[in-house]
Amino acid sequence: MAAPLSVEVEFGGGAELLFDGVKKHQVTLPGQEEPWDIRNLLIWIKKNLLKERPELFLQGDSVRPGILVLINDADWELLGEGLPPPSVCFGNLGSLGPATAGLEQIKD
Amino acid sequence: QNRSRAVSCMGPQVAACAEHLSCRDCFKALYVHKFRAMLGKNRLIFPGEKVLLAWSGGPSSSSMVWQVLEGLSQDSAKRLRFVPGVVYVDEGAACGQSPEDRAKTLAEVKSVLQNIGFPWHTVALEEVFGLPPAVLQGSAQEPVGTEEAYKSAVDSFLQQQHVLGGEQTHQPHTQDSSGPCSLGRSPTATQTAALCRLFDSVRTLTAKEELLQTLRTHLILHVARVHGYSKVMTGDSCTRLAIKLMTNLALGRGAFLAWDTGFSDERHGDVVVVRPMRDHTLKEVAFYNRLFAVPSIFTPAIDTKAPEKASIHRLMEAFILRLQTQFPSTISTVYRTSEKLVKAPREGCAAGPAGPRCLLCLCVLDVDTDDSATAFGAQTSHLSQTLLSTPPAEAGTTTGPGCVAGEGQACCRAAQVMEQLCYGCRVNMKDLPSLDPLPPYILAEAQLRSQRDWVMPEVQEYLIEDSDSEAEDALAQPPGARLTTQEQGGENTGTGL
Repeated sequence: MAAPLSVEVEFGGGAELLFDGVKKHQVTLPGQEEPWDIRNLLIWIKKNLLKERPELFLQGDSVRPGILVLINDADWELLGEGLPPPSVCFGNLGSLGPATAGLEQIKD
Repeated sequence: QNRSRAVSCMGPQVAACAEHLSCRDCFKALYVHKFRAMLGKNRLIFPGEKVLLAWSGGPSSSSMVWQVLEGLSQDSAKRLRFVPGVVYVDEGAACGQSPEDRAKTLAEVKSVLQNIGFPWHTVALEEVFGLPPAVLQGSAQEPVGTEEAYKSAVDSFLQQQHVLGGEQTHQPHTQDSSGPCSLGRSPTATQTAALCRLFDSVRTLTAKEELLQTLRTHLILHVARVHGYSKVMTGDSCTRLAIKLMTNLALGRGAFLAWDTGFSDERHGDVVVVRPMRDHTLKEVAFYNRLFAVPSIFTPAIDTKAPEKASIHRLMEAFILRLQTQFPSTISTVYRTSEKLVKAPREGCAAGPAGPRCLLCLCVLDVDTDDSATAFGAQTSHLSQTLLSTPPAEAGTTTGPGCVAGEGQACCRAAQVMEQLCYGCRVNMKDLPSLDPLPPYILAEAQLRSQRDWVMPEVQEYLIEDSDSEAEDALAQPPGARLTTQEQGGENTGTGL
């Protein structure tokens, strides 16, 4: 059971194109059964923030290869999957066409 | 998934790049070190040399400009010693941006450029419609600096500094003080329309992307020459170059990989392109820019939001990035392989003047004779037959070279251009139903070269033995000033020389 969570989500490097050009979003994630980890956050983002072309942002359970994820200005790869993020920044490197930087795939 | 990682220090970790976990300070130190080491080990940039930084607004080139800015302001021992300028190319017309968006972007660009403080130049891509054919005429090769030349240049520079009484802090050139130094005119509406017409006529995104790169290169080259820059720095990152290498293989540019992806590209002779960011992955660049607030400006590119299979470039990028997530050494392996590529002349052509160059990419043509068994040779022979059946001279005249400019038959013009392209550029140009929308400087230079080739055998018999090789060399090599006047004479009087 997860309590509501306040998160600042930021998109940059071209990723904002998929979110109506809005870079910073202050969101309140509602209380829910499942914990607020990155995976669930992404699901929530897809449902509530993403405006177009989900395939350019997401792939499977994670972000598309090329999307860089920073959590509190630190590399997502350094943290476990399950960490609740007070601040998440999605930076796309290049302009969505030329995206870069792979992430490790989430493995169950 | 456990990878062995080295922890470089005890500070709070922020970044996992390659196999290192770094704290903020170590990350910065390594990042800066890579930049300085890349310049230092190659020793191509001489003290006091004018270097043009090609800034696209994107993260890599922004980071590069930032590194130069910081490098120039350091204390004397470690200070970078060249004289920078920045060029920004507005490609909005080719990417379908509205005039309002373009103006907005340009305002942001100028604001950033003013803060940086180097002399800066903004040009619009459509200004290629005002370029002279001379852009495609490489000048004589500058002798590559030897180790001794580099050392002595640095020594004499340091001596000068000493004699002048202590280190001087870096000042921007007063004659080029921070301010706009464009080509002298803003793009006209005609030029903008011509560029849109050109790009609209290209059938595939792949060819559009390649054409865009070609035109951008020519434009930057021109700016560099006009303002006396002997080097151009581009911000291509390790990631970007790995993708480019594989893409260019697929495009049929395998022969030129070393120039297209190496640290230095001397194909233009007087202006050398260098890639100081080629050791930095895009992830490192993004991190650095984020952590240290490096300003960059996002503008949509020609393939932004394009689906994965829209072009060879997109496909290859997706392939490499996806592979990288499963096999994290993919990009570094491609990079290390690319470092081993050698720029060697074709077997059997060791000495002697360089052969003809591709009209568009300006690489020395890996020329196959007509009856060679390669695809390139087959194309060449077909083109030659087309040209032989439609002689360049206008109806009636047997003497004199080529069609009068602009009045030649369209197919004759197209064959003229195609014949002077490398295999990769030919394949691209096939995606243009007509070559007429190309900028005039390309068509004009194609005609000039074709005339020269036509004239050569005619003139051969009139040449005295002594000057045979001289004339041959002169006609074979990219023309310099001497040839330009000859050709001007040729156009006016109708005779070859």
